[in-house]
Amino acid sequence: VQDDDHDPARRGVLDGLRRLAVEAYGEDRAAETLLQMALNAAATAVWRVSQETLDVSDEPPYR
Amino acid sequence: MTGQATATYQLTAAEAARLIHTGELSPVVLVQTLLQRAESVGAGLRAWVRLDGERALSAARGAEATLRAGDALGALHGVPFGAKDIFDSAGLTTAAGFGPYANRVPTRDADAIDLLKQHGAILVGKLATTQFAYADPSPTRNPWAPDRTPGGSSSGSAAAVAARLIPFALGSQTAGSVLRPAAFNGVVGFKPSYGRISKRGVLPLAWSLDHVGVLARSVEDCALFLAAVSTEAPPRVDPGGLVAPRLGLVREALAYASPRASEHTRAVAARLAQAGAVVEEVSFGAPLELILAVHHVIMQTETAAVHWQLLEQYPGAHQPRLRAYVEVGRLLPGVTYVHASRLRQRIALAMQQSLQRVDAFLLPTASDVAPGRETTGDPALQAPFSLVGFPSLSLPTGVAEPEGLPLAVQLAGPRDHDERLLSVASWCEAQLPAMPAPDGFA
Repeated sequence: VQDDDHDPARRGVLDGLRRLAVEAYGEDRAAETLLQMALNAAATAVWRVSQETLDVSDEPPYR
Repeated sequence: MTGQATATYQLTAAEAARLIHTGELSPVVLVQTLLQRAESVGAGLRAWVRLDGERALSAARGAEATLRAGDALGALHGVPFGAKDIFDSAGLTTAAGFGPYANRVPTRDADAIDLLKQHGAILVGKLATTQFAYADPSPTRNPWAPDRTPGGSSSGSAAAVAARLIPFALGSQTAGSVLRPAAFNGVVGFKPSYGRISKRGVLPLAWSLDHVGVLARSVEDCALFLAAVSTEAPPRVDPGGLVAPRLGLVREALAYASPRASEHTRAVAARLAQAGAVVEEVSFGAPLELILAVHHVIMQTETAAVHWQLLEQYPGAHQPRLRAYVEVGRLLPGVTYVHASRLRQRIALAMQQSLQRVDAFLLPTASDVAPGRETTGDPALQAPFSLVGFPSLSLPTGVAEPEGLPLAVQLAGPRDHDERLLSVASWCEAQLPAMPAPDGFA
């Protein structure tokens, strides 16, 4: 999944996840490289998934 | 195959089974040979984490006694195998690369191991895995080049099969953990359809994505494996009776892969077309980056659900990438997981529709040859089929110069049409040159 740092919506998702990480694990842990990388990758995935519109009558999550 | 010309350790599972059935090969000699090989040429690879030599030899002696008695024999009678160290093995430690599990000794075999034993196969030992089958590299070396990753997470399984330490080995795939190591080590990797093989007794990573698979040195061995462990009727693979397949070159995968991997896949496609296959370009049916985003959300959320309590119970015991992945996974919104699960159904339907035009997709297994040991490689081209639960198979197709590292192509077919995919793969395998063993392991 490629990053897109210029998209404000993706940036918003990343900022939200970072805030949650600081609350859950503290400033120091949240600033560590591997956690930052995981936050970035997750933000891109969450943002990309959220771009897709599904009607209420579209696919149920499980068949 | 000529039994006289092929060293015992080079035999595929099917070749060994045929020679054992006819009394030309002793299971005891075969197991002894492989145990000696593990201690000699295999020692530096760090593929085995635990050998079970005494019990394997005892089982081999039992297999010989059965042969002498003229009793009915299973399809894998006397054939040795290894299992990735996330498969429970009765009386033999199953640690998953996790320190607190160093003394975890299951009392019951995983179903896959149990079924292989019921068909006469002999468990020789456990093979290295990345911790809990995630992405922190294992200590295993790639037999083609010690400075390159063997891939992961089924690192030991792929390296051991490539180095002729074992004919076949159990692996598992949540993103790309069977097919990518297969590609990086020059062996065949097969991931059957989701649900085709029981996962009871296999330590999970992400429940709805985890698949049991196999690493072997021929498509025929993959078919033997599926017949032994499948929850459904066994497949029939008859390369002589197959017609040339229709293959769909996946354009999104060709665009994603390195120029070298992409060109190599096109060259393989041209060779198969010359042999009679019909090749056309097709689409996954959905953008690759969307497929990977959906896979990411589902896998990370489920992995966090599997591991968050272990993380608290054993602080400091998880490898750094897995720890960070779980910590972030706990933060993902539930609504996003459900949204991704719905998109997964849409993607599966689109992919199924793309496959209506062809017998199988054809694409590079990996985006390039094996990278350095700081990573287990890129799962982007294997993960789509883990997401939708379709069967996929990696075929070794040559050696890239100047590095001398294996190249491979991937075939994938519709869900629950595993037999058809194996038939297509068998036909393709027959048109391609045989893959050599790595230098020093022939």
